[in-house]
Amino acid sequence: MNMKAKTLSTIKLITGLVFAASFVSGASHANALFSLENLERERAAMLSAMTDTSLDINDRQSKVAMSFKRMVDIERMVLRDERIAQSDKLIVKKAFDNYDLTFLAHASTEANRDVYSHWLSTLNITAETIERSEQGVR
Amino acid sequence: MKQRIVKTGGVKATVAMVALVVMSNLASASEWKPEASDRLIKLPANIIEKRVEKDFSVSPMAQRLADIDGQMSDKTTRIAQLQEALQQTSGDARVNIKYELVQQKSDFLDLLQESHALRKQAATQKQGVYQDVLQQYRNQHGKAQHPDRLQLQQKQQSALARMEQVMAQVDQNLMHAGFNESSPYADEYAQNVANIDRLREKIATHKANASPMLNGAEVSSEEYLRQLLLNISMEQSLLHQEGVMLEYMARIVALDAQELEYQIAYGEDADFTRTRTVNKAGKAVDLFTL
Repeated sequence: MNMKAKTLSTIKLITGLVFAASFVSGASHANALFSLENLERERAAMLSAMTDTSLDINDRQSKVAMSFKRMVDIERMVLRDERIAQSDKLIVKKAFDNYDLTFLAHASTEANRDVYSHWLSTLNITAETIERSEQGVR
Repeated sequence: MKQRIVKTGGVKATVAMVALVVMSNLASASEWKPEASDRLIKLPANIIEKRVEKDFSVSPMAQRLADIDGQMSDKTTRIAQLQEALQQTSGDARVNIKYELVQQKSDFLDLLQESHALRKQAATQKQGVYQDVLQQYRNQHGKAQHPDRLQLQQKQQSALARMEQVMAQVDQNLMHAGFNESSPYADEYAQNVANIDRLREKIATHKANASPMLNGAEVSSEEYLRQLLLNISMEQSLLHQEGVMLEYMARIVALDAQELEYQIAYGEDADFTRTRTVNKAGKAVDLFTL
């Protein structure tokens, strides 16, 4: 085999290997929604801490601050992850249908409100609506 | 006489062979089985064309076509020689040349017919490959461009743009809250995003990833594939016309052979249409009266 043919066959081998290799596995795509699920969990934990009457004010503030910091990271992860928009799951559609509820940490800062107030406001829960509400069996 | 009978038999066989479509040895010795493999589909459209053409050029089918081309050139030369010789000869020698001429033309047509069938088959197979590639290409891009998915991507992009406007403010609030150190995610992820963008930019501007060109203009892979299919369709139309010409050529050779057959059987100037003179009684009266 002459030099040119040898070089060509080596290049062909490299091209074949590089094209055949898929470094982004199918499992990686399946895990794309984990960050969104983590965000849901963190938000639920933070709202739960905010309404937990068993916590004193310092503990509550500390827990909420920690949650807020984690939410900031996760919210950015979710929005920068292109894989999420490739999914056709309902959780993804719902997440993007309501920015203010999903990306609560950033949306509350944008609205110059604390997280809890912004959440209540987005759901249209005000002192007035609570006052007008009646207790009863649905 | 014996030689003439043998020759007439040969001419008859030639007539029959020209009239029939001979395709016996096409399938086995001259195959080409291209496939639209996954690796082929990943290539740029213009490289797909080159790969298909290269694959065809080394196939038994292309080799057989080249072989036929060589044989046809030889036949053409021989036919021209015979046509020239025909002008200068007469009598039995002329019949012999006519006989060989018909045979050479018949052989030439057999070769042309085989070549035509192979080129037709190759065009159909290329069409199949390009259609498969185009279909798979459309499937991949159709998934990515599904209205729901596009809408979701747009929502994600607009949400990110909205978030980016308050990121600095959020980071500042965190620092006020006592989180002086940024999270590992914030540092590494931002760096990775920048690196990914650089790599993407390099891929987008890479020469090997350049869009295919048609008449000096950049076109999409899909457009290029559609143009390839159009070219094949034009080639098939030309092949159809060639088929019609081939059919007429075969008829002419068959008529030539038939004419020669009659000539050998009945002679060039023999006229069997005239009624033979019959001896009648009236014309014999003189024999008895004088």
